[in-house]
Amino acid sequence: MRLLIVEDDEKTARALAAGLERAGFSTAVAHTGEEGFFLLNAEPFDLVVLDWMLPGRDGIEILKTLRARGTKTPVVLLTARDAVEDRVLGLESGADDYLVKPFAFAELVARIRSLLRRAAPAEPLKKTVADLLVDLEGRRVSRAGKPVELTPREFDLLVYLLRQPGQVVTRAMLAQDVWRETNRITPLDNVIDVHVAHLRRKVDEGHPTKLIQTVRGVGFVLREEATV
Amino acid sequence: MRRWWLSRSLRMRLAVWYAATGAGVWVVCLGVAAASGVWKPGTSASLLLTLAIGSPGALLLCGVAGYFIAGRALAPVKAMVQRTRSLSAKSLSERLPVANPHDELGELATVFNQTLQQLESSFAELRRFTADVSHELRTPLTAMRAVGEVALRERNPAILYDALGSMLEEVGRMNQLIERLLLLARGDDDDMPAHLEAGPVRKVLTDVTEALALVAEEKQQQLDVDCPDYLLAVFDPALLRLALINLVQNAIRYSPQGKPIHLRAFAGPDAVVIEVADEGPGIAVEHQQRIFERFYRVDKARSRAEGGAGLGLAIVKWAIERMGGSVELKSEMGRGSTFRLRLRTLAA
Repeated sequence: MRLLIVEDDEKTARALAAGLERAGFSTAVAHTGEEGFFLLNAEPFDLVVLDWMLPGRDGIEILKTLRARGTKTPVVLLTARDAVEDRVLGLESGADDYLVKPFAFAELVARIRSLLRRAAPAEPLKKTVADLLVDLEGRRVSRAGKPVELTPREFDLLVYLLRQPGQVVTRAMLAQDVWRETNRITPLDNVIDVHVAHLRRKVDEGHPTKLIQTVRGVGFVLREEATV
Repeated sequence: MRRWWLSRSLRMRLAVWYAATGAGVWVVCLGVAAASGVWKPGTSASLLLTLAIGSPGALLLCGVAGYFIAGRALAPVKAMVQRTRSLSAKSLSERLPVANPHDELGELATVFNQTLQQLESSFAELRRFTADVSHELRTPLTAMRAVGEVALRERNPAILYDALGSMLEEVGRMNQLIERLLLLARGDDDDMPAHLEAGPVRKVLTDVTEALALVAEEKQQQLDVDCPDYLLAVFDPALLRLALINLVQNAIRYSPQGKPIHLRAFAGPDAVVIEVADEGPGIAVEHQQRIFERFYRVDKARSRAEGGAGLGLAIVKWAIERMGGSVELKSEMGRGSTFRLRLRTLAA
């Protein structure tokens, strides 16, 4: 999968490119609107990460031109502008997703994957990670053959982590997608922490391999890891 | 002509009016006297002479007198102008002289002084706010810098990893602070209307308690809801939820283990009242007035340790006032605190 990153701040662009390459994408970087536009014309990309505020042609202009020509390449718009009108303008101009700076890198990766996955086949009804088995249809969970009793919220939380195995999930993503909180200001961080702690107790306690990990300063991840 | 006239000073214009009026009165008096026979000018020459000398005389006399009278009357204005000229954002504590509070100019000066008073206090608030913001932003920056510099000397990956995590935590804290400040700043601009709709209050209350139940449980605190099913109010669900989550989280945080938190809602005479009451230590009277101010903290060390920036209650107040409601605090030391929200009823 080849991604184009259009971002004028070099430090940010470099970090994004390095991070996305580590996440398994190949990337190209443009620092101005013109350069980005030129690259888009020159070679095919699977997805564009586009900064709104660019010197020269800004992100919205590029986006509008692209869409006017019928290009359907998914675009994630990055911006420091987070007023509701800005979001609406961004999405109406043809962005597929919208991320407010400063964003968690984990969230960007998750959004990119989810956009690239849109056309992917339906997911299986049962999922496993190590000896954890989750039955999505029957909403049942078992670890090493023994059933684990979860509350509905804990189940949703586990499934959300399970859908992005090995990837870090931020509290903001959980608040939005699991708690369905539309207002980013609502303080849910400790609510989420407490729920994760409970989930971890139910899923990991008594097992040598811990599955639910905390990544300090970022969020949580579901992956096999022996306790250090 | 008109431009020339308007470009004269008010004092000069008044003097000219006086002079013209004086001369006019002089001519009219002569006319009346002559017509009534009180004054009989011997010849038409003496009539002309009287007019020719008397009119300019009256004009000059009244003009000079008018010039001085106008000067006296306008003296307070001159003083106000001089004082106003010396005003600037830095010297807003000065006030205009009020010569006589009962006349028009005194009234003008008084009103102007009131405006100055308001300007002075908003400027002071702005200064304090800027200082507070800088301080609040500097605190996480200082932590990040210290952690980063110390980590640079480390070779142990586990410790480096931990340092990065700690720095990211501070980044998250700064980001949250900025988001909240932006929200409040935008609220001041009043360009973000609330989405008001009539809805059942109970649903919001149970939503909030459901979200926070586990957090309360950690401290063995019971969240109980006392609200009639049919109680309706006018609110924006997201804003009300934001306010209540802040209030209930505060109650959980600041009241001791095992003490219940009560959410009550009922229809008052002119508003729907929602109360969040805890059985904590209470809030001293000297803090009660200021507790809704941005960055105001009752216990500075403690609330920062808990990750708070002193914006929670400012946001509660902002959210409730956006919906046309109000919020107040009733608290007594040792007897807990009750935050009382008033929302509009359907009828209002």
